[in-house]
Amino acid sequence: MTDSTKQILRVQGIHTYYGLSHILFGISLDINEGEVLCLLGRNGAGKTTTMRSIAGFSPAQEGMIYFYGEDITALSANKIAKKGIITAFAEKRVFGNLTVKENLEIARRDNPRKKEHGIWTLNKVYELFPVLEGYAKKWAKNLSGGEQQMLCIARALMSNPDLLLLDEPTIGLAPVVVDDIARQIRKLQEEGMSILLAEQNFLFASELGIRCMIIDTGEIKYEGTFEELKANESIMKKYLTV
Amino acid sequence: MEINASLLASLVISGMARGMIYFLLSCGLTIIFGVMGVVNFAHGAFYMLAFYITFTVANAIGFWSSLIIVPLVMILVGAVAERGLFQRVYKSGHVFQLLLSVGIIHVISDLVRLLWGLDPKNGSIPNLLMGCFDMFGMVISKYSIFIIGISSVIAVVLITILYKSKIGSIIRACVYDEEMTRGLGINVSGVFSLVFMAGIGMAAVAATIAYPMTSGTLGMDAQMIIIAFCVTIIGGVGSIGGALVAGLVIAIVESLGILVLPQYADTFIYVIVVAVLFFRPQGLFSIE
Repeated sequence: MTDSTKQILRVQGIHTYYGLSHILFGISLDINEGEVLCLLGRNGAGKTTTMRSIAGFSPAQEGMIYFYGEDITALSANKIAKKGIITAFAEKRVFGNLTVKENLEIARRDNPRKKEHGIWTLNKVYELFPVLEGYAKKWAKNLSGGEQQMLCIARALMSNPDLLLLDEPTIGLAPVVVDDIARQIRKLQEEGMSILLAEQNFLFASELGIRCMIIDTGEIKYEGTFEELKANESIMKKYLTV
Repeated sequence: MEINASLLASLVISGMARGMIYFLLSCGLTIIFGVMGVVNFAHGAFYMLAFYITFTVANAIGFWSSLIIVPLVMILVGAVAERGLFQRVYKSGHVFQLLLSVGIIHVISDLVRLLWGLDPKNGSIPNLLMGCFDMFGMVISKYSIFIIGISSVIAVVLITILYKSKIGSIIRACVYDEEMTRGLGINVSGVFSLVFMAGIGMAAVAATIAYPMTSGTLGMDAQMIIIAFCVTIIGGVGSIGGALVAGLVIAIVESLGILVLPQYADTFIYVIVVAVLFFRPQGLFSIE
């Protein structure tokens, strides 16, 4: 790592519990500015919990999380979001009782770190997701699954995040929609957005990221590039359903 | 008594007036329930407190001033109750919320007994609104028209805020998915305070405009909270529009029920509640 790549997120040995069940066992990871880091793993491996811990929804009981060097481990979810980490959940949690436009507008937030040209506005978001503009006045609950996923990502962008947590954006979507979303995420990448992407879909993830991690039963089992991982069949077979 | 069109119309109008009071009372309960998931059983007690404060303020400086002062006082009471008490039980589940609400009911009831005594408190309709209109043979009380007018304005303002402003979008978002709302960096606990204060303020408006035409007694809170729950069940949790329709339906059914089968008048409301729970348990205007 050269000095010019700035670390945006550093997670150090976090342990997270749901009630009494111990879910994460010392997860560590770090993301550089402008990087897409992929978190691979099966259902129930701990991908979502890792994201929930970073975002403050399910705070880590042990370990530390730093964002731009600042300790955010114990901050509440809305404070972490204000600092610039926004999550788009796999369950496509759009506000069904709000219109598409209202969904986008309530998320609007300025980010002093962002330069003028990089600021996400309604128009810029519609440019990336043209289908949403046509549905601006539609109730979000009436959108298709793929459209809801796009709205979810678009809504996250409206708050001008520095780091986007994308939790399985392709889950349950038709292949043609998955291609659309891959294209849109690639555009975000080109704009320099830092992304933590959780995925089960190996192909989808390997097209977007360079570095990846495999998580299983709440522990990181592998860390490296997709190139290296593709060559390592035993790891692939053991932890992923390819 | 002969049933004719003008009698029916008069009953419907007076029913609508009462329905609007039910609406104002219940929209606080339903929105607090919808946004925070708190079942505030003390909502009726806040209504009663507002009613007794109206009695004092109206006798001291007049009814019109009380229309402004009492809701403001109650918004303050709501702020203290939310910040000091309810905020502590948001995450503790319905049982703790119920215990807190019941505690508040007892405190308010004893406070009212201590300060105002046991005698019923009756208001009088201000001179300006005394008497009736005679329209096409229908006898319609001016005060009913006043209630329908002022409540309609409030309903329009509320619904406009809820559906046309950013804070309205945020409140609706909280009803749908509170955690996700937090996840967008929105200060949800600030929204909670605001909604709670507004909800108690609305109950106070309901109490103030009900004051001239009802009699206030200890125990009126129990009667009102049951109606507010019926409105919430019929209209759908968190739905202001639903509370409006349900409030009107309940009151008009009450009015007409007295005409048709007086001994069962009260039963009709519960028949509707049971029917709604059976056929559409999420309420007529559920946000889901």
